Amino acid sequence: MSMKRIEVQKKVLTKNDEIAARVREQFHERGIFAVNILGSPGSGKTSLVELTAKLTARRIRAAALSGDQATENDAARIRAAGMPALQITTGNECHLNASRIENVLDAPELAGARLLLIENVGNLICPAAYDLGEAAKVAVLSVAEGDDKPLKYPGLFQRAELLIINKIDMLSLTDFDLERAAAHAREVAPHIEVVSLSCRSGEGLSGWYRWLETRVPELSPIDRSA
Amino acid sequence: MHELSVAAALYDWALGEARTRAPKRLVSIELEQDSLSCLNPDALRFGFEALTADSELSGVRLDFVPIEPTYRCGVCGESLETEPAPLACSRCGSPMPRLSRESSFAVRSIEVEQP
Repeated sequence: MSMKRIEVQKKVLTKNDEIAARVREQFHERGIFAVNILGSPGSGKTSLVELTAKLTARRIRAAALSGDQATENDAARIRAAGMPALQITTGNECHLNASRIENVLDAPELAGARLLLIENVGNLICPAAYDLGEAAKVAVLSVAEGDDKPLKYPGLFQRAELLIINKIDMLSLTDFDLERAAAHAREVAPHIEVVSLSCRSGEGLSGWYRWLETRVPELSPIDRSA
Repeated sequence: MHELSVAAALYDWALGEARTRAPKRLVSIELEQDSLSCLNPDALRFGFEALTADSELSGVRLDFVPIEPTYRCGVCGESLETEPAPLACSRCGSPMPRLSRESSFAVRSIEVEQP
């Protein structure tokens, strides 16, 4: 009997990455800009999708996929806001993976869509590790969660293109400091763009819309004078 | 929290590897892991042991090797390994190096026992 070590160098989540590459290719072929929205439960991911439904209505065909461990609540909320939405219930899993997206690519809700908002399971840890084939990840952090979260959960923020700080209408009730939150985010993710807004009051929404607009050419300019 | 699904991916891969290498017996798997992999080695080990119990992979050991996350400069392509995140490329000075997709969690090697 003798022992032998064999060099391998193989990524463990290769299978997910392979499926994600196929999904990305599909999105590219169909001209879909897909955004993977990540954040804590209650940070406002569904509210952001609802508002985006209203902002993009009549400008572009958009759709949403909503991931949760249980219930159809989020998809129902998004549909009520006017955007075709499909719920993906993950059961015991704490994140979406690429195969769950691939499985629903031909769903009628996605037909003709140019913008796809994928609302991940509410969680700051696990969803960050799974590529879904999206064009960009967007992190949503709410004022009530505290401005130190980018430092505590760097993995998610480092993979995100954009940080949305939501619930700024609650700022006066908390010790949350917008500049400190942005600085913490840039400390772990120097590339990250930051937009502060309130899905409830609508303040700051134009920053989010502008971010989408630069990536989805079909979104015609909106009147921001209001 | 999602270690079980990662353990399942590892199990699928290891099973194929063990069958390819037979009659040599798979003894251990060496995994390299950076601080951004969002994985807890103990939870991963627990999941892997649960999945492999009573299987042909029963007793296969997982060894973890910590590594630094890798960043890549978007301008010159330089690979940067620093903690905390680098603010600029150390070669060309361009701002905002990005986290490299290859970063995070991988099998480095396996150990097999010759019959």
